[in-house]
Amino acid sequence: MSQDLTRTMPWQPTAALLRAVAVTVVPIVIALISRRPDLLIVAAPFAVVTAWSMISKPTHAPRFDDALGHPTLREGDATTWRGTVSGVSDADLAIAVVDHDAWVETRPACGVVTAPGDAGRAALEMALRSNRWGVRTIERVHVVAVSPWAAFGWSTVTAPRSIATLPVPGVFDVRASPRPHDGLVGLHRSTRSGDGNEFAGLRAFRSGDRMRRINWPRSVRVGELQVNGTWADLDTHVALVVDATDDLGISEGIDGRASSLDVTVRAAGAIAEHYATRGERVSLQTFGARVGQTVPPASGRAQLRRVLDRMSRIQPGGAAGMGRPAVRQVAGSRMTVLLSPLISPDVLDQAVTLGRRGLSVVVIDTLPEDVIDQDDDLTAIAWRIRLLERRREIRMVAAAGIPVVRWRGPGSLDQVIRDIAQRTTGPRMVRR
Amino acid sequence: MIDPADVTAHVRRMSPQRWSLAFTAVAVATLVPITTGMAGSGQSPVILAIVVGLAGASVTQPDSHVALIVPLVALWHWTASTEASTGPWALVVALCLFAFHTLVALMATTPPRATIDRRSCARWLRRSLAVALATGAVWLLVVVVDQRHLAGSALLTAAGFVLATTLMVAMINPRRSGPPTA
Repeated sequence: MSQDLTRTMPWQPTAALLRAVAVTVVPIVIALISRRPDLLIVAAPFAVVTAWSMISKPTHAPRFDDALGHPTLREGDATTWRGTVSGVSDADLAIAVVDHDAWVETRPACGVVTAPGDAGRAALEMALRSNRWGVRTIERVHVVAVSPWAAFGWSTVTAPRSIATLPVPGVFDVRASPRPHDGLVGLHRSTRSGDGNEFAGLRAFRSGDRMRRINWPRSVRVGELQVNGTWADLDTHVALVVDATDDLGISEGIDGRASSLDVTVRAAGAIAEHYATRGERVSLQTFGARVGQTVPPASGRAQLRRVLDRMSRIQPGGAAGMGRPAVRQVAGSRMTVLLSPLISPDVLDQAVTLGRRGLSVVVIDTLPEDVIDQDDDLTAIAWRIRLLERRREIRMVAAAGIPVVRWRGPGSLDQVIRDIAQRTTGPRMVRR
Repeated sequence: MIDPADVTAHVRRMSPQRWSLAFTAVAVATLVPITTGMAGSGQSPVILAIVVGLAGASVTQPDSHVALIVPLVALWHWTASTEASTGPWALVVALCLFAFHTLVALMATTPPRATIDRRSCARWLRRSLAVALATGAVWLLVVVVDQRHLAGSALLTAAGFVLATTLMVAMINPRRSGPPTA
């Protein structure tokens, strides 16, 4: 991108040029006045530098172009920022200083890169690695070009750029199915017959059956119209509800400790990846974030990308409380997975409310275990008290039939999903 | 004004390369009053302390004009404490001041945490060696002229000045008239 709209300073003399000129002129004048040839020797290198600097003074501004290799990354992935100063043969050295947020690593680590000018072109290159999901900001890049002996300097400042960093889904697998039978579109099929693909059996023609469903050989043999019955195609809708009210614990990016929101987002990504790529519909709803993120149900890799993209935009610390829209969003789901550190009792209340509406709700506890490790004793005690209360609240929710499990990656949900599958086969009492 | 907090932050962020550049710059600046003392009437600890202090301030804020004071103080010291000596000490002083100037100029191009690439450093080194050789040639010329006690000539001085100015203007002007790019 050409930096026409950014702040650019023209070539300007530097302190080094002033110094060279002063240390040339002063000793020469003294040498002439006081007949001191030794001062000419002292002035000689500065005279050469001054002459060289003036001869190689750039006369017009260079052109500067820069680009980011990839605007979207996954956590831990790197891209390259490239800048090119061109069009001025006397640009001797180009320097770029990249300002970035705490979750971006640069190579070189100092965030400054230099390149010599060759044939009127200096190519600057810096590797940028995003360590944490979210929208990472590359602030303005300060680019400076200097002429030989750093006598004249030209500078420009680029516009800020952002790198969307998608969360890396955690490792997750589940063997249990929330439905009692294996299925068609996803791994699951409807338990009722209907318009689908999988053969269920032959039956007599009924009004409304499609003509192409008629099994003519069988109809001829039995003397009445027979049709091929099929199981209805139906996939599972897994509704992910992400609690973004708080980000508890310490986040050290992809390579270090994970905060509650890190665990939440990566776990939600893992569940979405597991189900969406198997043909199941996955939806996303966040609550408590500054800006709520919603993805309607769909399946496939594109949907996974949408879910990850939305989650990368989560900023914690918004209004608490899930509210009715979330309940509507998840109302048609086969399984609602609520991911939360469960610090606010409102979340558990909402889980119980959803369960009472007849939805299959699974609550995943994403509170990091090291959250209690505090330097301040009083804070540590406060955490311990809150965690005791939380344990009691979780027991009450579990007693109300809402399973609460800790996120442990593969197999985290096996037992609760088996329980859900068993529950769906039996009679239920639903409060409307 | 130099803010002490800025200086502290500056020093804390300095890269290893920057440390070596700064150390070398202060070292060559320190050599100047020492060499002047050897060529003249003896060492002056006060001048030495002033030069070292100013050199230290220069390397912490290389883009300021503090670095200009170092060669001016050194020049005053040289002029005041030595006779018109064209011995090798003058060459040493000239080269030390030049090295100090070059190192500070190079440091001024980048933030303190930066590491300048090797190709650029090699380029600056090559150029500096060329200038040092030219300085050596000037020293030899001055020594020869001084030892032969050649009489000064106003006409030759004026002609030399005009020639040098003409050459410089001739070299600069074609570059200035080049077509500007977008």
